[in-house]
Amino acid sequence: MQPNSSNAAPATDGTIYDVVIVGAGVSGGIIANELASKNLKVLILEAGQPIPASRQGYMERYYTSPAKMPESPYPPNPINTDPSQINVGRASTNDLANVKDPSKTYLVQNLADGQTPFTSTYERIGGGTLWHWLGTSLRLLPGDFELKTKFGHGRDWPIPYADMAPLYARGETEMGVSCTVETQQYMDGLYPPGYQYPMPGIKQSYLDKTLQQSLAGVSFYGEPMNVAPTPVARNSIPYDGRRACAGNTSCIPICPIEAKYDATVTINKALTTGNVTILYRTVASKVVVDPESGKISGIDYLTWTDPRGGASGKGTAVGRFYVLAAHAIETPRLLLMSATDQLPDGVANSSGQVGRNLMDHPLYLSWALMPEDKPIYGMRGPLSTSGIETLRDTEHRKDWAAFRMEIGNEGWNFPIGDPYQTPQDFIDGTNVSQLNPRKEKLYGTALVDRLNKLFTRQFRIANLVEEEANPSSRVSLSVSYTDRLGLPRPLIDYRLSEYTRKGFKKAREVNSAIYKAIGAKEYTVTNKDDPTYFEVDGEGFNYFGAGHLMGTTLMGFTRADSVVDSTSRCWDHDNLYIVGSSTFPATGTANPTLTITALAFATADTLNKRLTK
Amino acid sequence: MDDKQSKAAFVALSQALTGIAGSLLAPQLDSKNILQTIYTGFVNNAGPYAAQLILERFVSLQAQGLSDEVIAGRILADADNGPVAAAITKLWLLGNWYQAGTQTNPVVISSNAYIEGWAWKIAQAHPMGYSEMEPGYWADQPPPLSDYVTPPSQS
Repeated sequence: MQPNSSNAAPATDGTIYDVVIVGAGVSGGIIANELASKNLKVLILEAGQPIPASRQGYMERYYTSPAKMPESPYPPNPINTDPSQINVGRASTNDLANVKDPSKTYLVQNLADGQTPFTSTYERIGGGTLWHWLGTSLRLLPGDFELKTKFGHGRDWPIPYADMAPLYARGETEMGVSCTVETQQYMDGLYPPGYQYPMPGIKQSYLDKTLQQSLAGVSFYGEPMNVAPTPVARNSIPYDGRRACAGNTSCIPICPIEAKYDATVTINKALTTGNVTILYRTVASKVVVDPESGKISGIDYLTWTDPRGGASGKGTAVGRFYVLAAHAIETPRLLLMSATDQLPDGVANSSGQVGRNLMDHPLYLSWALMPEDKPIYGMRGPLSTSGIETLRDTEHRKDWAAFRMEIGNEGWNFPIGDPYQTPQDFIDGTNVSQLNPRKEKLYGTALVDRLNKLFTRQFRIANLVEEEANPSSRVSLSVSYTDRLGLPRPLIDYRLSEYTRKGFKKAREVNSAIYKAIGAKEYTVTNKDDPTYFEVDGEGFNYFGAGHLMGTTLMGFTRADSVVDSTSRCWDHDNLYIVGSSTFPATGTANPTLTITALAFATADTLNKRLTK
Repeated sequence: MDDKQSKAAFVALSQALTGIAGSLLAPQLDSKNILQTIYTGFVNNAGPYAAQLILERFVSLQAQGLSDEVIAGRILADADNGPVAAAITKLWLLGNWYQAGTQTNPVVISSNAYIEGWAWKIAQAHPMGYSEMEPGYWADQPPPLSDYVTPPSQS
């Protein structure tokens, strides 16, 4: 239910809200809910479609989608669509197949001078990209906040871990994180004494337990390969009116039973206060600055009705404070689009850092087949239930980027699209999967038996590799390409640093050693023709996007080299805040959502104090 | 062949190709109407001429008293029927219709065809996004393959 939401954008003229938020995702939802519960009035501008009354329509889109991609359930369909004809475009996995062709990819990618594509995607709909997150809710580790000081790379956070810890606890409560503290033994001092997560941990998969036993006593780079249950925002027991996870194995792109937290949970709470208005199909197009005070005086927006029909109306939202919560591509895009004669480089950009330092957790994927006598039965349970976390914050970060190893429960779905590819290989006599080297054609029970023996032994490791802030990796505005609203599309410059590339090399080395240690046969392949291809010491790699879009409006110590201060307030504009992972000065290796929620709570506290003093 | 005979031939042919008992492919209590869904997907995508051709070929081989294995082998070796037979096998396993010689960009028959795809059962698993298992089931080994896929009684 959305008591105050509306499909048609009502006029905001004349209403001055306490806070105007751009983006109805997790950050915007948390801030709205926190402030609305204090009886403050909040307006949210959301570019995309409303949160549907039921997720069944999204499920149907998923089931009937030929390729089950993260964006498959969500509108608009990006396949075979020119993004210049879509009002509200977004990066999608479909783009990646067409990365050099801006008539097919929303992000305009500059691949000159050895640059490689930015391959993470996001949604622009009510509820944001959390619709298709995995749910992993690891905290950043203490060393992640001191990357420069301790390891000499990138930047430090202006917030110490000690200040983040209580905020993490609030995020864990809001989302409902399942974890048993005692299982997180890879790092001392993460939790205050006696801390407990709101729910016990999700059960580890049969695969996890098998790996745990097989890797007992195995260490690399001085660190034990402990297979630790992952803290996740999926209910292990009923929590907050939602059911326990039943292991549908589709956290990405959609949990069919909302056992996994998503932003709609908090947004619906916020709406229930009666103090929150959401304008859907309302695209913030310009942040307006009062030239005398330097404060934000309003946010111009365009409305639309037909997804391909251009703007149907416009207006200006006015508040006492403004929060941009549109993640690491659309937030800097909006700031840059807001340039005026007085602010030719855009809003909040006296440092010149808006759009710069675009980061991800570039992902190294490896895959293997367990021995015949050790099936592990994938394609069951949550997509991932465990990881190896021990190389996330070691002294090696002086030399190579940290990485975490996420163990996948979905067989070779990620690497080769199984269970679709291997059956076709054995039906057609092909060998795309590499599992049919003799190109056999099977049918009948022989086909069933062979497939069963292969499916039940497949697993993969996804390594999320750290990136360091690099001002040359950036979002700017395309001068040649626009969306259907006439707004410039994001232009991307991106490359992996040497630090990250070395992390890839180590990730491969460790993954391969793990497979060897447990007797698994590795099948990882590298595609030299893929635009993500790069080399380290003559060794070729590909990377995937992790969907963790970070950087571009960094938080820092001084106004000269960052966009926001440690309270997420823009240095240049006293009443403008930016939340979400665009403010992360260092990525660590934890999936960003939990840290996003922590920062959103901090910002809500600040705004509440300033509004009620 | 009338519609009923065609469907019966289709189920028997499908059993020979997939190694999955016809009584499972087309259960008596077919609450998701899966036989009609898959059969329609087959006829619409193969085309009525090719559909009739392969079913008639199957019936004639069956009339010779040949085993499933021999029948399936011969049909798959046919220049005309072979690709259609491969597509039928994929249809039951994956819920999609793939044009002959292709492995991508299939026609998705329906959400039920996806959910009832046999590849998931062959993996002793369930379709991604559709599980009727109890929370925590993933911590243990699944039941044996024979609980998911029963081979035909005829060998």
